[in-house]
Amino acid sequence: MTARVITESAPEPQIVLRRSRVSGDRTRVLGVIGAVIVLALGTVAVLAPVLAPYDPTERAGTPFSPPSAEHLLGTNDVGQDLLSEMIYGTRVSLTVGIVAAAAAMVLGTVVGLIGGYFPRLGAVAMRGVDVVLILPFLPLLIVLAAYLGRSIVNTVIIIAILIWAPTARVIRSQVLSLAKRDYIVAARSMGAGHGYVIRRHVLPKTLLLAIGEFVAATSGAILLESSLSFLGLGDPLQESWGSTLYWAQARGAFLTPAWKWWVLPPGLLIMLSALGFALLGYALEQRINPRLRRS
Amino acid sequence: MVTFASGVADLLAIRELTVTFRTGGRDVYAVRGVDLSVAEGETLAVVGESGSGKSVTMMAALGLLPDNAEVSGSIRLGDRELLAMEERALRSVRGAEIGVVFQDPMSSLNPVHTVSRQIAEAIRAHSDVSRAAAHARAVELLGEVGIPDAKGRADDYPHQFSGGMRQRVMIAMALACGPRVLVADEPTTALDVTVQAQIVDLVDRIRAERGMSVIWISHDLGVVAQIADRVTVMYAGRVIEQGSCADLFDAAVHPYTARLLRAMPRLDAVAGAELEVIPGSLPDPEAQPEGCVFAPRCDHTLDQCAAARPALLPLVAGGRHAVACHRAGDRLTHSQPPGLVGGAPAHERSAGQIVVALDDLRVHYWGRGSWRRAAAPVRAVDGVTLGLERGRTLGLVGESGSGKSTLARALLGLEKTSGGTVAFGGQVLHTMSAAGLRKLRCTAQLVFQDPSASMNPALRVEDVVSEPLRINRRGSVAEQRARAGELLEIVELPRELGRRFPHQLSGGQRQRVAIARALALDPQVLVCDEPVSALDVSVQAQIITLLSRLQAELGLSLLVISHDLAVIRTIAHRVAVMYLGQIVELGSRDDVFGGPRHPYTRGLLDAVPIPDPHRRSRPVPLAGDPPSPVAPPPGCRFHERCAFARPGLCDTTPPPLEQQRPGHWTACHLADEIAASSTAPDPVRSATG
Repeated sequence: MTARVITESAPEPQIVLRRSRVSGDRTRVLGVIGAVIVLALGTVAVLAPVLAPYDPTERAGTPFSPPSAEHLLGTNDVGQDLLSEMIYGTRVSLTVGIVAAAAAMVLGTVVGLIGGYFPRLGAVAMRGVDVVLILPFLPLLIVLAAYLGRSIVNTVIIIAILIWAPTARVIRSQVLSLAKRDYIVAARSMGAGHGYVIRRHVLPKTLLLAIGEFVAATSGAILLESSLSFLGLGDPLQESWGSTLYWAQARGAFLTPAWKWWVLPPGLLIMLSALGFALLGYALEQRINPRLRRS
Repeated sequence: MVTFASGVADLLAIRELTVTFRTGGRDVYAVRGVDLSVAEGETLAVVGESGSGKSVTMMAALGLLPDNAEVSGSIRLGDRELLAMEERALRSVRGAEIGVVFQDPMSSLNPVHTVSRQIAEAIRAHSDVSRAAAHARAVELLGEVGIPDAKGRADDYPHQFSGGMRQRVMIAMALACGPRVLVADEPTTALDVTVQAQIVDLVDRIRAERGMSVIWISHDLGVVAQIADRVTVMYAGRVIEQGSCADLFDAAVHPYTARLLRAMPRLDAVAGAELEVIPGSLPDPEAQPEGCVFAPRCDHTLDQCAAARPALLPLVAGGRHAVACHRAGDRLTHSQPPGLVGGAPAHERSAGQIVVALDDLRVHYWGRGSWRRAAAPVRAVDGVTLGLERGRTLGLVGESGSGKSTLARALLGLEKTSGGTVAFGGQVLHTMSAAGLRKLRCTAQLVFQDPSASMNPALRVEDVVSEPLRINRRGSVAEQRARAGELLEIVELPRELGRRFPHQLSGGQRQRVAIARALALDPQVLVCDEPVSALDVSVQAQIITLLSRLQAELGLSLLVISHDLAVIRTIAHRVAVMYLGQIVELGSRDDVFGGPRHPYTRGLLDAVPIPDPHRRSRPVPLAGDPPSPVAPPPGCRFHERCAFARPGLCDTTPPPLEQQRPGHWTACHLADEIAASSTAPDPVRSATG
C-alpha cells in the first residue's frame, strides 16, 4: 500500500483521540428568542385597534372589577378595560423607546465618527461624553422632565440625551481602529479627501455596529420611559405601561388583590420588551462588534 | 516512521499525526499525516511555508489545540503517549518537560507583572519551592540567557525590555523547569537581523550546555542552515523531505525543497542573479488530494503522482535522508525553466535624472509630555538627503525603528515634516496647494507590507483596483472597470479575479492586486514598504520578479524598503542604509554589499544567516539594540554599538555623510582605517560581482 508510511519498528496501535467538540451556538438561540419577543410586541402595537376589545379611553365596565369574561384583566379605577390599555400601551412604549434610541444612535454615531476620525477634536468631544456618562440618571431625568413639561416629544428628547453617550464611545473606538488601517492610508495616499474616506471606508462598517447599539439602547429607552411615566412625568394623554403603573400606585392597587391584574401585567410587559431588545441587541453585537466576536 | 541508523533514542516521536479542524460543516486538513522525531541533544528544524502545518503539529504535541481540532496518531515523549494523557497530566509535561518559545514575545508576556514574577510563576507551577527560591532561580535564568545586570532588571516589566531582550525573557521562562525539549516556534521572525543572530547563538549555546533537544520551527532557510542538525521540510500538512542539514542543503531531492532553496534571495548569490519562481500556490486546505500534495506545482509529475500519495522513504536503506516523492530515485535535475526569471539587472546606466529629492528631511513626533514640560520629540527621521533616480530602484535598509517607513510616508506627503524638503522635480511638497498635492499624489504611490490590511475587505478586487480612479474622478464607472481589468492583466492576474473579494485570494495574489492598484494612476514613483516581508519565500520571488519587470516596462522609479538585505540585494540598484533616522551609508548595490565601509553595514551583513550549513562560523554578531530615537547618543549615533569607536572623536562629533569613494557615501570618521585594518574579504562578499 503506497499511501502509508512504512513502519519498520513494531507497529503501534493507531490511536484516535481528542475528538472535536463544537459547542452549540448559544448566542444564536438567545438572538432568536429576542427577535420573537420583539416581533410579537411589534405586531401587537401595529394591530392594537384590531386586537383590543375596547377603546382604552372608554369607560367599559364597573371600576375596580376583577378579571372576568368581558374584561380579561379587569378594569381600573374609572372602569377602563386594562387589557386594552396594555395593548395600546405597547404602541406608546415601543414608539418612545425606538424613536429615542434612534435619535441617540444618530447623535452617538456622529459624535463617535468625528471623535474617532479627528483625534484632536475627538479628545474634546469625548470629555463631553464623559460628562454625560457620569450624570446621575434618575434625578436628571426628573429635573429635565419637570422643566421641559410633560409631552411625548419631550420624553423622547430627554431619553435620547441620556443614552447617546455609550453609543458614541463604542463607535469612536471602532472608528479609531478603522482610521489607522492601511487601506485608509492607501486611500489618502491616492488623494482621497476626508469625506470620501468616511463615506466609503468608515461609515459602512460603523453603521452595522450602530444598528446593534441601537437595538440594545432601545431596551434601555423603554425602561426609562416606563420610569418617567411611573413617576407621573410622562405624557398625560398617552397611556403607556408606565403610566398604568402610576395610576395603579396612585389608587393603592399595590396593596390590594388588584395588583395581580393591574400591576403585574404592565410590569411583566416592561420586563419582556426590555429583555427582547436586550437579547436581540446582544446577539447582534456578538456578531457585529469586532471586539466581542470570537475568532 | 523511518528508523535511522544513528542508534540515538528518539526523545519526542510523532507518528502518523493528523489534525483536522472542524468548523461549521467545513473541514480544514491542517496536518495530513506527519512523522518526525527528535533525538536527545539534537536540533531539529521544521521548515515550511505558512499553511504547511508546522506550528499545528507542535501545538498538537503540547495539547494546545482549540476544541474543534480532531487529532489522531501518536505523539510519544520518551515512553509516554501524550495524546492519551489527561489534561492535568499534560500540564505537568508542558513547561516541565517541553518548553515553548513563541514568535511574538510581547503578546506572550503579561504586561502587568514583572518578568521575574512570571518566570518564578512558571517554576512554582511545577515544583514546590518557596517564593524567594523561585525568584533567585529566575534571576539566575535571566543571567543565563544573557540579560545584562540580571539582578537589577529582574523586577522590570516587559515593556521596559527591547524586543530581543523580551525574547530572551521568554527563553528563560521556557527553560525555567529544565525541559528536555525546547520548542521554538518562529522565535526570531519578529526580530531584527542583528538580534536574530544573537538569539540563534543563545539557543544553540544553551542547547549544548544543557544537552536538551530543540525543535526550531521556521520558514527562514538561512536561520535553519545555521542552527539545525536535522531538517524536516513540510508542505501542505505533510513531511516531504527529511534529512541531515548538510544533505538537505547540498542535495535536496524533493522538487519542492530544491526549488524553495533556489527561490530564496540570498546574500551569497551572484549579484543580479535571477530568482527562481515556484508558480502556483498552496493547495486548498479543505481538499483531500489523493496523490502527492505538491503535484499541481511540480514540473516532474508522472501519472502516479496525482493518483497515489508518496511514502516518506529513505533514499538509501537505513539512511537518514528520506523523501516523499515517487521520483526520488530518478536523480532529477532541477534545472531552472526558461522564462521564469527575475532580479534587477546590474547597473548598466550611469546616474540618471532625479525624480524625487529629499533635502535634510526631518520628521519628529511630539508626544504628550506632562503639563509642566513638553516631551522630547521622537526623531524618527533626522536630516536625510537622498535622491531617487528615474527608472531605477533605491533600496532602503535598516533595523526596525530606524525611520524607514516614516521616511516613505513623508516622501508621499502622508506625514508632516518638521524640517527640510521633499521635492518632486522642481516642486516642493509642503509649499503646494491642496489641489497641487492631489495631483502630485498621482505621481507617487505606495505598496504596503501587508496586502490584506491595505484593502477594504468589503470591496471587490475590481473596486479596490479602480479606487484611485474613482477618487480622482477619472472616466466613467465602465471605463474604470475596464481599466481595472487591464491592470490585473499587467500584474499577471486573470481579469475574472476582479469579481472576487480580497479574502478569497492568496497572499501573493493580494500583493499583486495592491501593486495593480498602485499602478492605476500611471505613477512615476512606487514606494514599496516591505513589499515581500509578509509573503512566503516562493511567493516573494514572484513579487520581486514582477516589480523588476514592471520597472523595465513602465520606467518606474522604485523605493523599496526592507529589513531583509537579501531582498534588497536582489532588487535594488542603489542602497541606502539607515540607522536611527539618518543615512549612514549610500552607494551602488555592489559597493555597499561588496565593500561596506560603515561598521553598521558590516554588522548587518554579518548578521544575515547564510543558507549554507558549511559556513556557520561568522563574526560575532552586533551586540545590543538600537538606542531610543527620543534621545539619540551624541556624536556618531552608532558609537555605542561600534567595535571601532574612538573615544573623544566618535562620541562627540557626528560624522557627516561624505562621498569618501566615487558614488559611495559613508558617515563614519574611521571608514578608511577600518577598511585598511580589516582582514581578507569574506567569501560571501567576494562572490559579489
